Formats: sequence, C-alpha cells, structure tokens
Amino acid sequence: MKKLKKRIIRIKSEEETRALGFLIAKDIEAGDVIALLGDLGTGKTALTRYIAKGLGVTENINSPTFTIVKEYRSGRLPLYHYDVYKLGDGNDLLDIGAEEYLEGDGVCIIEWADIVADVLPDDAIIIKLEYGDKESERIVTIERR
Amino acid sequence: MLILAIETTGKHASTAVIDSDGKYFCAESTNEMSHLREIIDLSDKALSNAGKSKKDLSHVAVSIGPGSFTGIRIGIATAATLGQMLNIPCVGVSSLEAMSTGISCDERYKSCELIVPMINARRHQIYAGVWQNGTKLPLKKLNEDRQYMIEEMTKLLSSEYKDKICLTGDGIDAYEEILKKEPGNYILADENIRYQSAKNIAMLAAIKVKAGEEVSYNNLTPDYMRLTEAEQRLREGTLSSRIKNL
Repeated sequence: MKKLKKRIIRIKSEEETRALGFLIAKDIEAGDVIALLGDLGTGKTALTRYIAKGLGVTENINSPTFTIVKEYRSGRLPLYHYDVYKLGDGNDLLDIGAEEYLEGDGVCIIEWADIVADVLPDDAIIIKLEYGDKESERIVTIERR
Repeated sequence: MLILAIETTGKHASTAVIDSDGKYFCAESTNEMSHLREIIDLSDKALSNAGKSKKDLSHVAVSIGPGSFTGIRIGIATAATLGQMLNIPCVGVSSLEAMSTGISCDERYKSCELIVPMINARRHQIYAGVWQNGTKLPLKKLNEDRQYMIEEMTKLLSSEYKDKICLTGDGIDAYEEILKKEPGNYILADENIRYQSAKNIAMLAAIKVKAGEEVSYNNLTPDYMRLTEAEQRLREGTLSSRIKNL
C-alpha cells in the first residue's frame, strides 16, 4: 500500500483559497475523486469553484444541494460536482447512478462526502476544511494516497 | 414471432430483432452512454432493417442486468413502455448469461470448457458467473452469478476449475493487470465480441419465449446484483476509517 500523503495548510484569505484551488486543479487527473469535508460555511463550494476555474470551467458553479450533482464539461477534464447533504447514506448515491462517474472520464468533487464515504473509492483524495482562529482563516487538511 | 431485444447495460446501447426463421437484424450505437437519447431510434432502426414496424412485434425483450445502473433502468423502462403500449409480453434476460451465450456461438472459443463473463463493478468488484460452454442452449450455469471480488474470482477459477476458460466482458479491461498477475488457463474474448450485445439478448429471448418464460410489462424486474446494504456496511471501506482518523 502506498504511503498516505498528509498536508495541513492554513489559508487566510479568498486569494489563498483561489491559489489552493488552482494548485489542486493542476494536480488532478481523470478518475480522481475528491471527498470534501467541512461544516456549513467553511468554504467547500468556494474551493470547488476555484478548482473548477483552475480546470478551465467557464460556467458559474453553484452548490447542487437540490440536484445532488451537476456536470461541467467546459474545462480540461469533465467535472462532476456533488452535494450529498440531503442524502441518507452511500446507497442513495448509488441509487442515483453515481457509480458510473466515480471511476469515469472526469473528476468528482463531493461535498459532505462523509455521508457517503462507504461507497466512495478507498483512494479518494480527502480535503477537510475547518475554521481557524480568525474569521477569514481556514485550516485545510489534505490527505491522498 | 418477432422479438425486439434491447441491451443498455454496457457502454454502447444496441437493439436486435429476431424473426421466426431465427434471422437477426441489429443496430448499435457508436456513442458511449447515450442510451436514453438513442434507444428509441435504435429500436426503429433494427425494425426497419427487418422490414417491419412496431405493430408486427410479438415480444419485447430486455437485458435486466447486471451492468450500468442507469442503463438497466433505461432498458427496463423502455421495454416495459413498449410492452404496455403494444400490449405484448416482455422477456427479461440476464446480461451475463447473454454474454456467455454469445461466446458459445463463436467458433474461436470452441476449445474452451468454461465461459466466465465479468462486468466491471468497480473497486475490485465484478458481476460474474461461470457457465459451461456447449452447443445446447441455454448453457449450464456452474457457479452462482453474483458480485465477486476480482481476486476471489481468479482464486475460484484456479482452484475449482482446471479446464480452459474463456473470459469476456469489460471486467477484463478493468482488471487486466490483476488477471496477468494470476495466470490461469484463460483465453480473453476478442474485443469484437467482448461486450454486451442485443443480438445475444434476442437469441436467449427466443429460447425463453419457447419455454413460456415471458412476463407482463409490469412484472419486468431489474437485477442490479448489488450487495445488500447490510453486506456493504460490513465491508465498510478504508475511506471511512481514513476520514475518522484524520
């Protein structure tokens, strides 16, 4: 088993969120799944927006809370943006046919991924967002294999 | 007898019409995963290739899975709708059995004693079964068709079966590396016959119709072949523990 790579980053501004998003966008490949964790308002959608931008997605990114998933195909890779907040567990995710995207031709970013963790690939990239000491500060933990 | 068969559980949707002389008329999509958009056109195309129209149909057959979840639902919904609309019975056919049947009709694999179709179910899993090769249809099933771990299947094949085996299905593409590491007495089905095809569904449907195995449109049920929730929870993945330990 490959060694886990864990990194903890402090970001202090929207500008740094943007830089992190672009950095991640450069690094991801087709088939990657990003499990995004973090409480309300920690900036999951904001980070997703910058990852999308970094991929070259031109459309506006909104949280797909009601549609569960949105597809964006204008970037370097297809992006499947999930918000699974309203789902009960992983089986709900499979029931909407998500499985075909998970090892597919694009990148999946899944907000509230802890809810559906049991059906996500074991080698998903985990990104956890937490509040820092100051209001605009966030602690980002990234763990990948 | 005129059966329209629909196969949407794989990457490419296809349709086939089989008439009472056992002649086939087929249509296949060149696009991946565009089942919903194309399935009706493909049905019309197979029928027009046969010089027939929908009202000439006696049955509508469909691949009930396993395979792509969304694909299974599109196929079943389409077949059930046609069955209801045309007031004709439906026939449900296993995608795995149909794939085995397709291989059994191909001269190239006559020397194989066994046929093992495997459909990629992701994360080291496959939907698979073991059938005995032969000329008499339906083929004899030797091992339960269900969800397997790929390693479990290679182990089963090397320990239980000594005969020459033909592997088929997109599981080959997904787990080629693992199959190479576990050398067995395998032949891999050629890519031109490796994937789901409505022709095989039509062939088995014709046999099922003769055996009286037809159902009304509202009794057509999918076979996702997925582990139950309880079983899935039992093997709760390492991702959950990675999140917990973060």
